[in-house]
Amino acid sequence: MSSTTASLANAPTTDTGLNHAARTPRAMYWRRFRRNPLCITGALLLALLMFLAAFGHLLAPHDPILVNTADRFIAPGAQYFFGTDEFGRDIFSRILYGARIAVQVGIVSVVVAFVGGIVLGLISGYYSGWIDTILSRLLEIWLSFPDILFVIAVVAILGPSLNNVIVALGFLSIPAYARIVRGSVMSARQEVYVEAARSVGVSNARIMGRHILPNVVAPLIILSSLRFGGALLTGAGLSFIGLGAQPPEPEWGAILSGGRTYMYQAPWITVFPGIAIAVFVLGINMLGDGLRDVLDPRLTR
Amino acid sequence: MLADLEHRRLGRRDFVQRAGALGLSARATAMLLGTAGVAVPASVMAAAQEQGGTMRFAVTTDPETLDPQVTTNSAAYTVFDMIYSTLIYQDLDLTFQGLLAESWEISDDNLNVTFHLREGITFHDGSPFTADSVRYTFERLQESGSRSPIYEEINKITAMEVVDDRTITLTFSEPSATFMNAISNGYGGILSESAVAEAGDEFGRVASGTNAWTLEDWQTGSLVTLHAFEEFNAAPGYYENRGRPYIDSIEYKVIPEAFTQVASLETGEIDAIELTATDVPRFENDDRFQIFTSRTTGINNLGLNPTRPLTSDVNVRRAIAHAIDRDEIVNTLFEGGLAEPVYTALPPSIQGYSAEIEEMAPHFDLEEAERLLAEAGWERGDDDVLVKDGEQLAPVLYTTTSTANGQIATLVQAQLRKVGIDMTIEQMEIAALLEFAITGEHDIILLGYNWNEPDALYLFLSSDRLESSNQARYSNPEFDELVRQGQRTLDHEERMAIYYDAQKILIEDMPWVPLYMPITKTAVASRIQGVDIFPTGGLLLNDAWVAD
Repeated sequence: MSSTTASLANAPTTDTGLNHAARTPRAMYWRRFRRNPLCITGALLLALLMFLAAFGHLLAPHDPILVNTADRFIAPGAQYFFGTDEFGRDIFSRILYGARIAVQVGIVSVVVAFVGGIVLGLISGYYSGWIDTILSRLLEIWLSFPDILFVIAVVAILGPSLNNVIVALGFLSIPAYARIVRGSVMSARQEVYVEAARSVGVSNARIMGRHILPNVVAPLIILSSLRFGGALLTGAGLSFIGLGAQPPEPEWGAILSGGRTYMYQAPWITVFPGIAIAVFVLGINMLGDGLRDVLDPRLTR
Repeated sequence: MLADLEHRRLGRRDFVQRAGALGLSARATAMLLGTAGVAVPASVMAAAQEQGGTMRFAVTTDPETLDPQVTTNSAAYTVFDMIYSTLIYQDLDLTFQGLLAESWEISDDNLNVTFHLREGITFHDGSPFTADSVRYTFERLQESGSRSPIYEEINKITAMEVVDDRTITLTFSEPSATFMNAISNGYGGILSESAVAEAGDEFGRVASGTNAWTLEDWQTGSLVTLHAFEEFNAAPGYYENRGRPYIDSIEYKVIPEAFTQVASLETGEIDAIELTATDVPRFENDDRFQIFTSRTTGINNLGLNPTRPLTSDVNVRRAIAHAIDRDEIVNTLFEGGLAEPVYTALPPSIQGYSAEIEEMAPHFDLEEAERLLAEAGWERGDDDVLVKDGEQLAPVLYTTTSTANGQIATLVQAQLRKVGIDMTIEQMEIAALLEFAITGEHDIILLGYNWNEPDALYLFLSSDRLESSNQARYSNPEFDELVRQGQRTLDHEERMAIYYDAQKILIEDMPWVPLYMPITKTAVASRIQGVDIFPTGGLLLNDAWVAD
């Protein structure tokens, strides 16, 4: 961690006394974070989502996939907080279970993109030359696919399932990560401390891991939080059109899609998963924006 | 009496037609049926049936093309069927009657059909309709119509002899019991050779037939406009008005979302839409709309693949048939009467349906299902799922990405779970699904068909069709022989007996679990009067007029 702070301190800052109370960069970031309403709101919502993903199944009053046609279309009330759908399934329980799926989609796809992006970006940026040229062109081609089209194509090849959607979303984000990593690596490569490390015979892999990688952590965190929200939204979108979660999985997009037909007679089927998607995606994006404000030194007032 | 008339559609239709001439809406007619003998002032008729006005439909997509020979797109069929007419038509009693043909004779060996054509019919482009038009139409279909559903049928014609302007003789390679049906539907619409030649590659964007409506304008992706054909004089016999339609023009507005269609109907922006289950109750109890009901000539079913380990045992297939509660499916997902439970491969809307077969077919019976599964050696294991030789009875069901199919699959899953079958669902985009089905790697497939002929059994279940439309992967030589024989047998009684036997084999082998027959309800604004519907779908508009 020490190298993180060291390298961040190394970054050009334009601090002009406004933050003179901050003795260390870490304390300064934490202070900015606390004072940023976007960050706080976003972080609280993300924490809530994580909590639901971990413990939602304990809170759910009903079995989320149990079909009970006697209790169809019951309006929200004491027995079913968010009402029931066309099969008599409890929407509240389905949304609680759905939180876990949402988090799974977000985290796994971000991890896939994070790892893939770092590997490709480090190789491309560190070695430069023809490796970089080939990888960069590949990434550009990759990046030129429209998001939803890319994911649909991958799902069409692998077959529709939530796991394939997650993989596709991960692959979709790889070039965005790789390009950020590549850029940072190329500038960090010129730094004196890298040269110093090289001169004492540190291996390439170690230089990349220990000395260069920490430079790119901040932008990657911002990107990850934005991509997390994006993955959640795209995942729900694919399930909405029937390519993601397979019935009866309580994925939010799938619940929403199923309820669309009953908008007039049972709007709660659509409204609640819609609110869940909107609130959490908004929250995660707020956190992402807030983190950018906090971590990007150029945005300091 | 009212209930009786509801079931015998023909009787009711006749009545509606006569009432229509008196200037009564279908709703008024329904009331009249209860209070027979009410006098209606004759002046109503004269005032009402004036020419003019526009009827506006909502459709979900643009027609793919208006060339009737190169598409199976239903949005296309809806429109080109208004523009082109056929040699013969199927009447309400399902017999075939002459339309562009006045009469026809079939030779004793059943290998030649001679059509005598009507005189005085012209195409929209002004060219006359002659025996050459018929020859040209069928030749063109043989050459370039491989995508047409009647392509194989037309290819059974080995020679066409134009005897004179009004007479043409077709020679067949083998007797065909399905030919008349093939040329009576819109895909057999007669083309004008001069119009096709003039249009060149543009044909399909432009159209010229002999039917009641001419193509006036087509704005891609938003609107198709048809105009009444002034010289029209060949309407089918079920119409009162055999000449030019009363309505001046018809518009098909493209509105993809069902929700928006409903809103447009309510605001009076359009006059007719097909209703979805949830909208039926609202519109049925609204005086501003008339509801027309028609039955689909087909069913939706579970195909149980007999070549897969889990579904190869006939006892398992029969158990699944007993475990499915069709009533629950229909009552839960097709409110407002948008489906009827079925137990036979040929539903009541298709000739060849047999109530006797329905009686014998497996019905909902959980105990029988459990008994059959136990007999087949399956025992309850972990999580109450059936196990045999260490393997769980956990088949995978494949279906399309449509919401309706997803819902049906969900309900089937819950129903099968009760007898210990742990089914999972995979939804695939339709084109990918049909391609995948040919590989035969699915245990269960949920699909439907729509074909107004008992030959559907050949098309969807014979082993000749394993590489195309037999997605259930069913193959039984005895059954194959019967349905092939059905294609060659022209005698009606004899032919129906064949399909009886074929269906008897099906309820033994159970490659299909029939689920339901879809029913269509069309809401029409009450400003459009005199409308009726064909029992198996398609609004009848030649007697209709705009009443505002």
